Amino acid sequence: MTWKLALINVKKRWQDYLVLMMGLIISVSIFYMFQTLSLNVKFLEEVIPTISMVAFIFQLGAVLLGIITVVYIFYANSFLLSMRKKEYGMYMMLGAKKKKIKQMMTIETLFIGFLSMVVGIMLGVVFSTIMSQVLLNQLRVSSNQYNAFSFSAVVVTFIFFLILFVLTAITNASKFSKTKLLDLLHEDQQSEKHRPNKLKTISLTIVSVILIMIGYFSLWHVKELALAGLVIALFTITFGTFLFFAALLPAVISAFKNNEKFSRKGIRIFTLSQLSFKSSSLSKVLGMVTMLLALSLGAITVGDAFNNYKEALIKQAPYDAVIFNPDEAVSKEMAKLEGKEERLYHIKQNNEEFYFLYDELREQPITMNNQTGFTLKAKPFTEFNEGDSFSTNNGTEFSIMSAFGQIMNPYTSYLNAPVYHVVSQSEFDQAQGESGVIHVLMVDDFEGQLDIFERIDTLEMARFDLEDAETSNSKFALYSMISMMVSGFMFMGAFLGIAFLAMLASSLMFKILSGAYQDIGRYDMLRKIGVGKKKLLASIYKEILVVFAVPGILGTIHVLFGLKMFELLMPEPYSHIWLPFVIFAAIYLLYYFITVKLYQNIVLKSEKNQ
Amino acid sequence: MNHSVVSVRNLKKVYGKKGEKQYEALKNISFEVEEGEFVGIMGPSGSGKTTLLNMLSALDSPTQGEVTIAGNNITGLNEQQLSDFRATNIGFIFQDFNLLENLTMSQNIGLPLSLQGVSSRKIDKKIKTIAEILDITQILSNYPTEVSGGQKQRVAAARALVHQPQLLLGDEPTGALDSKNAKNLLEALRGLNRDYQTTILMVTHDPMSASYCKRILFIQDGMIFKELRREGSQQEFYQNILANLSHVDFSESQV
Ligand SMILES: Nc1ncnc2c1ncn2[C@@H]1O[C@H](COP(=O)(O)OP(=O)(O)O)[C@@H](O)[C@H]1O
Ligand SMILES: [Mg+2]
Repeated sequence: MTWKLALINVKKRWQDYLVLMMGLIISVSIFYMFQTLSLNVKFLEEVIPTISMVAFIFQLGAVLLGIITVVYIFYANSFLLSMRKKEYGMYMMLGAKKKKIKQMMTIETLFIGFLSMVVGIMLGVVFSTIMSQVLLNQLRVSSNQYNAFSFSAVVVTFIFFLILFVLTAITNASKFSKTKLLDLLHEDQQSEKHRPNKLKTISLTIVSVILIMIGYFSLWHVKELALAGLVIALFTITFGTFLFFAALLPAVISAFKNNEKFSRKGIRIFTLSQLSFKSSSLSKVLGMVTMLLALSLGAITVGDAFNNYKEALIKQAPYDAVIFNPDEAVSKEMAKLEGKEERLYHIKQNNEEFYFLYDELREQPITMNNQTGFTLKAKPFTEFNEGDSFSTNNGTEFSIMSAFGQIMNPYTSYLNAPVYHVVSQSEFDQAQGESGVIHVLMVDDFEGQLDIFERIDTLEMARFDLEDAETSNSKFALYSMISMMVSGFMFMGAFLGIAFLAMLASSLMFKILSGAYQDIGRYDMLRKIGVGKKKLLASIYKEILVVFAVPGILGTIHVLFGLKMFELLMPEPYSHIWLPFVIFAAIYLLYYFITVKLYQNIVLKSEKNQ
Repeated sequence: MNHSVVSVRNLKKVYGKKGEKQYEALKNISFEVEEGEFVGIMGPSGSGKTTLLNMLSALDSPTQGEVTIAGNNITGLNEQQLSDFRATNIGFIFQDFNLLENLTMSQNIGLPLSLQGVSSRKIDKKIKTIAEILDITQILSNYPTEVSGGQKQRVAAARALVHQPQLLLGDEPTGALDSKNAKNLLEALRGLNRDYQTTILMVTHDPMSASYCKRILFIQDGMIFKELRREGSQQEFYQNILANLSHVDFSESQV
């Protein structure tokens, strides 16, 4: 009987449950995906041999996702409880025992949880498959090590969410025990206090603004404050945001409402009244939405910023290929390259001593990178005289040493203490050592001719007996390494972003829609006193716009300040933000329109038949 | 010189589309309400009272027949015109007050005037006037949660009357009030009717409430089957109503 009643309940309000479950399902599937990735150890080892950092990044992402998921699940389930309170109250009036109802609640919570887990994991497998394809493509590696279905990932995901759902079921049941029957019955009439304590509002508002300011300040000066700055910002901004919605927003709306010059224009007073309802009943959700939005937008933006940073990193290698005494096969490949410039340097090598011709270096100066912070300035190296020798031992600058290093054969082992001599033709002829020719290639479009560079790389690896696992210093090797790391960041950013966005959307939509049932009467009343449908619609659009826009704007500002901390990792985190921002705004706007549509269907549907 | 505010001719309402299951909620109803009248409509649950009220207030359109309010035939108007018509000509009191809980009483009362674009200064004046009439001046700055049900309903009446409509409609306005608060509201309505010639038409279940009216229409199965006019004292009228009710199978089980 209890079972049946519980399931009937779920069936009856499936629309509400669907909105709620969408968030649950997406968070389960993304959690699963992170688990698959970090548990596919072999895959990671194969794809990312040198940078164990990426694996670490994914673990970190999984932890962050886990924490946010815990908060979200608890939140979502407390929605469930409040949605059902009145019904539970009615069952109790009809003689149901509290114990039975608690059982029913537990069944419901676990049922929803179980369903979300099953669907979420299935969706996660699909996601993982698609993502691994895209990722592998991006990384230009083929792997059969990757399994989209990972049994251990399923187990971890299952256990994680099972624990969460059991915990929330227990929390809900104990919350329920503490509520009196009368309060249950009057759940939706529990109107908030309409006379907020002015002193409290003002002091909370001030505290909220100060907290947010402190947070922004410490993000802005994150270079000096380092880790402390991040921790301070995390706490102050989170609390500041929640206080903002608890105190400042309702106060501002109520100020507008009570300004009669402003509010007594058409239906405006009603819109404001609805908003002040929402701002107080949604204050926690709005706080949560703002933080999720900031996380989501931040993750996507940072992921994208790393992608753009790739270009900058690749520019550090001025030459697209450096080939020592090319053989026939390599020469053939080199000939295929389009838009290229080729430079030749004659060289004599005696162990770690290298001889260059003064005239050649004068005619085709090698490129030197001057590093200031993250930015590199390339300039030709010209400050040398005939007979100069350069080595770390005689105090040569690092940038000069690496300028020479750039034209060394990338497929030989690491040089401990190279010495570079710049000599005249006659001295060159006299010098001891093996002579050879270095071919330095620069093309107009490196990324467009990757296949050729890959073949050259493979040929050269074989020619110089490099094992697969060893990496050369060629630009192609650097390129693949960087794109692996960057893709890792980008994908993580994108997926965390999507996960947070899904949770955000479902919290906001759910809360607005579940409140909509209480709004039906208000819209009906307005219709009866002669407000046309157009005006009601306009009011709905405005009302929900504010509910979306305020957290949207605040969250965006959080992100703008938050990006500052990535200056620790990359040169210009702000340089390419418009694209992720625009995409995000488009998705957010879509959510807005869907919510308006659903809300409108609930509150205005009684239009004709009443 | 009395002229009619409401004129209903051969009104018929059928619910349900053609071909599907249809239900005739109103069958050929005709009556007039003259200016300054206080009319009650009584009838068992499901007899069509709310349907009738919806036709009168142009919330729904009749299947057949004509409704004329204050000289306007409202059967041919489009949706926008109907909304505007309601906004200017009709005042509504609901059973469950329908006040906006997070607006003060005066903000609630001013709502219909804001909708009509009346200036803020005029709104204040009109609120003050109607509040004095209904004796709610001292609670104007309170919120609905802070006052009694009777006071709430008087505020709802003020909201219904603040724009001086031609007709005040009430669908069981005393339905959610205890008898003391109900009397309180009815006295106020009677006062309005007596002193300001407000035309009132209200649906009620309750013979006590009905006894405040000057005339009562009894509806059953979508038809007016009896009309009762108050001639003597309210007490006599009340007895008369009770007697009439006992004639028919009036189930008061549902409230
Ligand atoms: N929108 C509707 N669609 C179909 N039938 C309706 C609708 N509204 C009312 N009815 C039916 O019309 C009859 C009269 O209803 P109503 O006017 O609400 O009665 P009353 O207000 O007197 O209780 C009832 O039998 C009711 O079921
Ligand atoms: Mg009715």
